[in-house]
Amino acid sequence: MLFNSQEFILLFIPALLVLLFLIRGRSHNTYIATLILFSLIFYSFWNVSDLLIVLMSVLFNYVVYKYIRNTNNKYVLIIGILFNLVALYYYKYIIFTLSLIGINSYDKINLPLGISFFTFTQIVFLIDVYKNKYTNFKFNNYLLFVVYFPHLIAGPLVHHKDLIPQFENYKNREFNQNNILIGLVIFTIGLAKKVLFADNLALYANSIFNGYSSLQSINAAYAWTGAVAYSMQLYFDFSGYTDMAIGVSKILNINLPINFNSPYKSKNIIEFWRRWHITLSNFLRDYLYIPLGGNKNRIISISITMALGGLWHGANLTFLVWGCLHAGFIYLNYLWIKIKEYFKIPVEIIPNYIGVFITFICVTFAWVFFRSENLQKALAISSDMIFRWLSIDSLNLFINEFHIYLRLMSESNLSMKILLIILILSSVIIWVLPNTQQYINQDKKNLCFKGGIYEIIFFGILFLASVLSISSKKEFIYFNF
Amino acid sequence: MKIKIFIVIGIIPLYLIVIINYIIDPYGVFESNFFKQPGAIQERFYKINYLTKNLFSEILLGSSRVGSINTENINIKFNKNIYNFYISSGNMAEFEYIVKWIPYNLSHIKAIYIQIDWPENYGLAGDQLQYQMHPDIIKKSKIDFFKNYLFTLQYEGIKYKLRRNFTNEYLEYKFDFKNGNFSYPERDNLLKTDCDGYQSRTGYFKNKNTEIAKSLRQDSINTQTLESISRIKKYAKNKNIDIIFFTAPHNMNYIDKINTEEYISFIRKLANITDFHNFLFYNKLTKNNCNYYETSHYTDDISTEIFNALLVRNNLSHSHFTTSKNVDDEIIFLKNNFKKNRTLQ
Repeated sequence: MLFNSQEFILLFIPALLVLLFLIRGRSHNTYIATLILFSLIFYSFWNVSDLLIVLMSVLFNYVVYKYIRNTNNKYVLIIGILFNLVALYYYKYIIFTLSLIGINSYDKINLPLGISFFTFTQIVFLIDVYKNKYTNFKFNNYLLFVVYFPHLIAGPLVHHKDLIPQFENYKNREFNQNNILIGLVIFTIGLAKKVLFADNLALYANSIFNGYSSLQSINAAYAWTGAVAYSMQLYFDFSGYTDMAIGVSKILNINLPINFNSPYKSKNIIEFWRRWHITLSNFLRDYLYIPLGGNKNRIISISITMALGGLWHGANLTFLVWGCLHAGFIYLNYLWIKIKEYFKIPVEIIPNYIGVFITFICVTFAWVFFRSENLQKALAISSDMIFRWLSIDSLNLFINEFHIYLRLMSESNLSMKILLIILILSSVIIWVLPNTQQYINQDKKNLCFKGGIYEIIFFGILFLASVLSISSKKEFIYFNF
Repeated sequence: MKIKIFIVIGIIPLYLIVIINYIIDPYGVFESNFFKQPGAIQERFYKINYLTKNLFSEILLGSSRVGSINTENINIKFNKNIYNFYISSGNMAEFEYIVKWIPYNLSHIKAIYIQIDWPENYGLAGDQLQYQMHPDIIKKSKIDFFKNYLFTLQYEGIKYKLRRNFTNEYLEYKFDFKNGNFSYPERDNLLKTDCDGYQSRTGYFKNKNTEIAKSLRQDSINTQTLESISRIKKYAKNKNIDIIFFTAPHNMNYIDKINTEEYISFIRKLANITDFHNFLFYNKLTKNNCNYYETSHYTDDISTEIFNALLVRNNLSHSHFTTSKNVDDEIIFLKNNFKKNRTLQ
C-alpha cells in the first residue's frame, strides 16, 4: 500500500483510527497488537510472501538480542550481524556480484521491500544492545518497532530508544486533536510534494533519461534539464514520503525523526550530508565512519563510508560511482577548508548563494549516476552536461544548440511552459520557503501548528487537490533501495 | 475547530465525490444502474466484459468510424456471428492489445475484421476516462482502474449523463448493448429522406479541403501503425485466427486532406505486410455524402457494400483486394484516382 493512494488515505487510516478508538478501553497489548496487525496488512499489500521474510528476520534478531542481553557474548553479536548481512547480500547483491564475474544466467531474486531499512535498523539495535545492555524489551514492542508501517518501507531510519518508549507510553494511546491536526498538515505537505511536484517533474526526468540509450551525445541543455528535473523530483519524492510518514505517525502520537532539512540550501557538500537523508547519514557516521577511524583517518573513512553508502542504495556500479563522486566532493570540501585556514582566507569570501549554487550543481551532477540504469547512460548524460556545454563557444552554436533543445522537447511532448512553471514553483519551495519542520515549528521540542483558519482552509484544499491528483499507482523512488 | 474545518474542506468532499461517482456512474463501469439512460459508454471496458459472457465467432475491430455497422443485419444477411467491437478514438496499438488478449480468453473467436483508418494517432489513450483500456487487456490492476473512476471529478461525464436523463438533450445517440454498434436514428432518417437538407443544415460537407503537407509526425504514426499491423498478422497466424484487414472508406472530403505521397507509401508497405481490401479512394461510396453523418463517420447504409467486398475478396468498384503482387497496379490506379478526383485540383 502506498501513502499516496486513496485506499491508504480514505480506508486504511480511518479504519485504524476507528479501531483504535473502539479498543481505547482495552489493554495496552491490544493497542500494540492492533498497530502490528495494521502494519503487517500495510506491508502485505505488496507481496504477502515478503511478510514471512520480515517476520523471520524480526524473530531471529529478537532471539539474538535475548542471547546478547543475557550473555553479552561478542560472538553472538557477530553471528547476528553476519546473518543480517548475508540475508541482505543474498537478496540484494548476489546477482550483481555474479554478473561482475561474468555469470548472468542467475534467476532474478525478488527483493523484499524495505529490506535495506529493516536490516540496518536491526543490526544497529543488536550493536547498541551489546554496548549498552538495554532493559528488557517485550517481543511485541520489538516487533512493532521494526514493522511499524510509517517507517518500515523507506524510513526514516529509527532508533529503538526513540521509538519503543513511545510505544510503551500509555498516554500515546489517547486521541490528541492537536497531534491529529499537525499530522494532517505534515501529511498534506508530503502528499502535495509527491503528487503535485515529484510526479510532474518525473515526466521530464524520465523522458529525458529514457532518451539517452547509448554514449551518443544529444544536447547539453536537454541533459541539464533532465538532471535538474530529477534532482528536484528526488527531493520532493523522498522528502514528501518522509513528511507523509512523519505526519501519519504524528496522528498516532508517535514522533518520527526528521530526515530532511532543506538539503539544497546547503552551502557546501559536508553541510548537504547533514541535511539530506539525515537518519541514514547519522547511522553511517555512528556505525561506519567513526568505527573506521573517523576524522583521524578521514580519507579512508570517507571513501569506504560513501562507497558503501552508495551500494546500500542498490546493487549497481552507478551507485558506487555516485558514492565515490560524493566522497571526492567531500575531500575537495575539506581541502578548501584547509586552504582557507592556511592562507587565512576570510570565511565570507564566497557568498552563501554561490556556495548553495555550486553545491546544488555538484549534487545534481552526481544524481545522474544515481538515476541512470547503467554507466554508459550516465556517462552520455554527464558528458553532455560538461563537455558539450563547454564546447559551445559562439553565439551561433548556442542558438543552434537551443533550437535543437526546443525540437527535442517538442518531439518528446514535453511542454516548455509547464516545465518553467514547475521549475519556478519548485525553486521557490526549495530555496525560499521554510521546510516542513520549520513551518510546523519542529525546531522547538513541542510541535504545534500556529496557522489560522485561512491556513487550515488552504491545507484542506491542498489535501483535496492532492488526493484528486493521484491518478494511478506511482511508487516512491526510495522503495527501490 | 481547526480539525473540523480541515475535515469539512479536505476529507468529506472526497467521500462525496466517491459516492456521486458511484451513483451517477457517468461511464457505466460500476453498473450501478441508478439511472434509466446510460451516459457516455466506456466501450473498451464494457465490450470486453460483454464478450467474455457472450459467444461470438467473429469480431469487427475499429475506431468509431466502424461503429455504425449494425452487425445484427450483417449476421442475418451473410449468416455470420459478428460482434461490432468499435472503440472510439481507437488505434492500431489498442487493436494489437485486444488481438493478443483474444486467444487466451475468447478462444471461440475465429476471425477478426480490422478497419484501418488513415492513421491519426498511435498508443493507448491518455487521461480520458472514457477511453481507458480494460485492465485485463493491458495487465493492470482492476482496483487502480476503478479507483480512477471513483476519485476523478468527472464533470463532463456527469453533466452528459444527467442531461440525457433529465432533459431531452443528447438522446438521439443510441448504443446497441447487444451488438456493440451505435446509431443516430433521426439522422439516419434525415439522410434517407432529405439528404440535401441535412447537408445544408449541418454544413459538414461545405469546407473545401486541401492536401496536408508531409510531416515527420504522420510518418512516425504510419510507421508505428504498420509495425502493429505486422505484429498482429504474425500473431494471428500463429494462433490460427483469420484476420481480414480493410482500409476505411473515408469520405471524399477527408480523402482530400491526405498527402498522396504518404498515402501511396503507406499502401505499398501495408501490402507487403498483409493482403487487405482497399476502400480508401474516391469511389461510389466515398463520393456520396449521403453515406456519411459527417466527413469522418459513415452510416450503416454502406455496411452491406463493405461486407460484400470483405467476404467475396474480389475487386469491386468501391473496393480493391490488394496484395503484395498487385500493389503496383493498385498504386497506379490510386495515383490516377487521386489526380482525377481531387476536388481542388
